[in-house]
Amino acid sequence: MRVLTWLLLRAGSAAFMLLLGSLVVFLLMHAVPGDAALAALGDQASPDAIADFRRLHHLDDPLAMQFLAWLRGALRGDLGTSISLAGGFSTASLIAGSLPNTLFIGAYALLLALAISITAGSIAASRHGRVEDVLATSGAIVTISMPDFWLGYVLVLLFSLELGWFPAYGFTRPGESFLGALHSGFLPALAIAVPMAGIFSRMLRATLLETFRRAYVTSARVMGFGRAFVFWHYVFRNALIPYVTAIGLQARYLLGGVVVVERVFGVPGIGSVMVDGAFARDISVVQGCAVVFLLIVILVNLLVDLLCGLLDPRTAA
Amino acid sequence: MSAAAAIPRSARRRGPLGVLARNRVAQCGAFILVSTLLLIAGIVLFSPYDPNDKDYMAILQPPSLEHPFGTDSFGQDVLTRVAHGARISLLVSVGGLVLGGLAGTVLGMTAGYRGGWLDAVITRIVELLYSFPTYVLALCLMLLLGYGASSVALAIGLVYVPNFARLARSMTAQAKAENYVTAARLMGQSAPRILAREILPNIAAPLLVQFSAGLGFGIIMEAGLSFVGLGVQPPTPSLGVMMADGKDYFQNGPWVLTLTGLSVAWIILGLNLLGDGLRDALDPRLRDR
Amino acid sequence: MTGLALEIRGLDLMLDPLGRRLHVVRSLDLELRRGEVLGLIGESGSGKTMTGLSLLRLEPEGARLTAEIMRAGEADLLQSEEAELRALRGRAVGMIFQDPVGAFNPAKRIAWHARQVLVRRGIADWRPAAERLLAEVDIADTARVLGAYPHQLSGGMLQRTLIALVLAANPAVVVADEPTTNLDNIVEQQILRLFRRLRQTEDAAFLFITHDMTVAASLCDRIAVMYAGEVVEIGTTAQLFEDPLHPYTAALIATARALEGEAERLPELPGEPPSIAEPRTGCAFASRCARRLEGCTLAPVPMIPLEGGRRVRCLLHG
Repeated sequence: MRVLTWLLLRAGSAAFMLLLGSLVVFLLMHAVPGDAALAALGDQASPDAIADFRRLHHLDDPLAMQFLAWLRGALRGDLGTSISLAGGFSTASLIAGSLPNTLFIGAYALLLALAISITAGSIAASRHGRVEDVLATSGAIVTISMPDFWLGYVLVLLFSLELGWFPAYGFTRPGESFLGALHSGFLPALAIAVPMAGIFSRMLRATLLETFRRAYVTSARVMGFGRAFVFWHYVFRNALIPYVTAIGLQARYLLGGVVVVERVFGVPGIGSVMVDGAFARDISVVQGCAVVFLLIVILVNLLVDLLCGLLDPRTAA
Repeated sequence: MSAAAAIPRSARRRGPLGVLARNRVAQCGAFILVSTLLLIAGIVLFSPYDPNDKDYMAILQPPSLEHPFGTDSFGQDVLTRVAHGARISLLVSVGGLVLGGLAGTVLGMTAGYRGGWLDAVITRIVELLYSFPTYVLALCLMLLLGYGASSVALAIGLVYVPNFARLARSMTAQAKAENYVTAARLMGQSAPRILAREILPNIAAPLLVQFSAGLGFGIIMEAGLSFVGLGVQPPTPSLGVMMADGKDYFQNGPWVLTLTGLSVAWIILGLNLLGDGLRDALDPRLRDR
Repeated sequence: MTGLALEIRGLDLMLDPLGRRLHVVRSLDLELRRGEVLGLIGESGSGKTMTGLSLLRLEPEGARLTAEIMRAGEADLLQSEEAELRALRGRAVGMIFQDPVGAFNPAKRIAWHARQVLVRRGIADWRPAAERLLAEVDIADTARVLGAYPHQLSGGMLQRTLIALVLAANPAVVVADEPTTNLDNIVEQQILRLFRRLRQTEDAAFLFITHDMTVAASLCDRIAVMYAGEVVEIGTTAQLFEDPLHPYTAALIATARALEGEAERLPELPGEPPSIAEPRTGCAFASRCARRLEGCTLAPVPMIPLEGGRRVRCLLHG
């Protein structure tokens, strides 16, 4: 019962956040200089055509009405019409077509970053102060210092142009071929994952070292449990909650990185859609993408909260 | 043994300069930064090339003694352009962090000190800002303000407002409970005065650490925005603009993009080392970037 | 075969944090017979806990431990093989801690802890065994305790559980490091009563570390007094209380009596214990001792054996 209340409260707060964020994005986009009608119809459009367009898109209604109309549409899955693409593509269909690619690359990068950071962070912490620790720690700070999109090109230079292992450009949609997506998405995911892994492993190392000092670790060793057992069941298990929380805080950097890296590798993701929309000053596309990105981060944070609740016996009981 | 000598070194109060005198990591970072800045100044002042000198007889030459970083598609000397670009990128990043730092600190300290509904409202806004992916927030702002260096600085500032606000809020709320603040309040000092005179000096160190750590990511953001074409616009030679240019002929002249990016990473490494050293020495609890 | 549960001869422990050499345990001799309770008493920083951890060979990393003899039951504790030591931990020497809440893995139920300990002892059918063990330490509601997470149980309950788990391995020696200090008075009395009963029924010998003379007096057969890394006096509880030989022992007992209300005012001990970092020339207690002799500061004072197995590190009795 308590869990259910907590869940409802948390979900309600997330929904409120999304609403507030949508309003902010709406107002921001509304303030963008330029006339949407002129942008859509071109400079030569007749005043009548412009007036028709403005009426059709409710551009002359009060702001509050416009926002409510947008919101009503958004709830039904209608995010408006793209003005930059001929044929009047709906923004929702543009996003629906590209979002899976972005989610795939994002999840791929997250998994790689987790794998790298758990390995490096654990080794660094359990070999504290030794060569392995120094190597992992300096490796982490070097990778954190690299712009992810630049790293993308370096990876291309190495693994595509020199070795020819992975394609330098282009992305096979996971819907077409999952293996193809794994293959063609590896370099973009790695480019995002490596700096992230640097950040993650530093956090993991710090929390592990803190946990190593806890009394229950000594107590476990007194019982005669082996090092590996103590590390896994006592140290790592109890460092998980702070680690997962820290990862949740990085969601905005990870998704931010996706936007730029998608351009480098020509991944047709929502980041690319948003950048193209920005170039064309296509307000409905940019607005839709921004809200969807916001939704993803909010959902990730919700998920992190849930996960922490599951990991922590104090809330599970 | 005198009483002062019995206190462990780390417990003594010391400023950032004192840290620099003892912390090896901070020293290493400071060395990288100072030497690189000197190098940049030297190149800007004494380079035989102008960043915009085009030499169509020497297009896309690989690195050599004459052109240590090679030349780009206009025959311009890449090293000279990197030095000029680094200056601009650093300015943009510093400007953004100063803006974001000021706004975030004011917001956070107000929220932490006043509490109540104001705290609730500010916390919500900050949380919202923190929920936007970095480049998404920046892109929306660039659309609103138009492209260019000052807009990029503003965008970096906006992205960093929540980081400073969260930090300032929690530390101010902590400091508020301390005796020295209670004493100042009992003496009838005004809230702004207490915040500026009593609390700020005591929470400045972690904010400074956040600032130095943020500078690195500010440079990455400038580079990223300019790289996709939505940031600093050519011909202004920011590092991001140069990398965007270099990607167009990446296969024929990979050194332009690679070496420019390497310079970026080198500067950021210096900033990160300095920030790490400061953090370890001043406040080991800080782990966010 | 010595027939002793624990035998330590010439134990020295040197810590080396950041290049500062700390000599925390100095030429320490102790012996425990089976079924005996030895109190190890001293103020904080006197090296009691480090002595306890040394018995489990869990001295801090980078520490240097040397001894002529260190045996628990049949086991030689001076091994260097980590695998061998791990096999000895829990089996030869068990340990109980001051903070029972912190001694349990907060992410796991008590049943998990019990299973790990018992399965490791080769008891596959662990659940009935666990219930029996908990019942032995006066826990009635064994099912509830086994199903609970550590944060759901009281300190006293957790301390009983920890004692049960440690005794499950039948160790030759149990080190109990201030096991009642963090508990409130009523629970402390219950745990002390439990210890008094366990020493009758269990084979194990107990090394009971405490700073509280009264607690030690109520439980221990013999008492060893530690000061600044050294044992300064060791003897039966009766010997020590009737006729304390070392001035420091006398001061401790006087303070304990004063707290019990047998004296008018609290006796004071001027000064502070010497630094454990500095090399020592004479008796560690000399600077605070009212009955100091000239020889006290000149050379290290050896342990002087007296009648009835008593030993004291004081020139007044040489």
